[in-house]
Amino acid sequence: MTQPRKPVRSSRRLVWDKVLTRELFCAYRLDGDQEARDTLVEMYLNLAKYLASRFRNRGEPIDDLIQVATIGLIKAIDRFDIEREVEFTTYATPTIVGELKRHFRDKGWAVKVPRRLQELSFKVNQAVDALTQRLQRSPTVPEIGEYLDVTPDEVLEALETFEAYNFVSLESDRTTDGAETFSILEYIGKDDQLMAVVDDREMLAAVLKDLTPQEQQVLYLRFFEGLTQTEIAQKHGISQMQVSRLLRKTLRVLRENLVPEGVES
Amino acid sequence: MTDADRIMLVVPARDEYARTVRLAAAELAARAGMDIDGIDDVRMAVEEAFVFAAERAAGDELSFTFLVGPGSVELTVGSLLPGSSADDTQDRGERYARFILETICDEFELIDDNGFCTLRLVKRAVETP
Repeated sequence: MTQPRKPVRSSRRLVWDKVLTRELFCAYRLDGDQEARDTLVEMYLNLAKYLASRFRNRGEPIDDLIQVATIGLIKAIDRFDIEREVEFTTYATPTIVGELKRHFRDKGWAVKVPRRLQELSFKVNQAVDALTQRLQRSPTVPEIGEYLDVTPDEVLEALETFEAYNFVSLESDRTTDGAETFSILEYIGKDDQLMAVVDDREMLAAVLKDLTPQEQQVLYLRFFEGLTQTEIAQKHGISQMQVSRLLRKTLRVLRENLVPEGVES
Repeated sequence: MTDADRIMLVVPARDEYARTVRLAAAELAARAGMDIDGIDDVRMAVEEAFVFAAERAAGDELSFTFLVGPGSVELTVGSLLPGSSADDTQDRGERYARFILETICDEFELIDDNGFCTLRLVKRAVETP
């Protein structure tokens, strides 16, 4: 195996040289040359920086974004298949953008949401739970507004915000009782309505594979047992708004898998 | 339904407008006096109805008509193309919409209308003791 050429430096940065890129990938993949990997990272750091800059103005420091994008770049370098007839930049761009999007999703706010609205969303979530306990039923919007001393419009805005921007990551949601292993397939008979939607049990299994056991359980309780969101929340010690979010994600996955040509909302 | 206010929204039959209709629907459900569970059901129903209707839109726009009365919201989406059982995806889309919307709503129907089809949904508030 020939040693890769020394990278060409152009005014303090490395240029994206296709031939050199290939040589470096060969050295890294075939010979385990860590230095070649480091050089690749250095060569394509500008791509990571450029993509990170597209996410600026969303409330995150640019240095943090560059760090996230660099992680995406390293993943792309480690996963890139040198046998494929595709340029590395073509492969790396969606990987880096995916990493940045995941960062915002995990962090919560995919777009910049005013802090006031973030806080209000959180307070509305707590107020729904507190009022449900007190009233022993699902509260109305005016009741929540009165409880928090805000207008009904602000409550509605906060509800939409909570769901749309997912500021508590799903992964950190408390798992409901018995949800670790729940599989809706075990509960569905051939006469159930969902079976009328799919062609057969295999198809249903394929559709459900993208849902976590917790999501399957919430789906089952709402659409088969007929429980309300508040009842599901109370039964399993999670908030009504978390149930709402789980259900919406679940329906989105079902729809995408069942009706792939359908529009996404 | 009597003593109901009629609200019409005409939007392009494109996914990005589902949110617009959903936001309006949430406000109308709150106006009808629904609790948080009911409002969320209305939002979810509207989203599913939008997807269903967008697939069958006869033109470039969708027309949503809400009738909002005390404790209830009725939604009709008209001028949709009738479903075709020969089209697997469309047929499955209808079965899926029926499965979801019949559970969430108190009434669900697809009405034949001179070669077109109208989707009609009704959601009623739970009576508070």
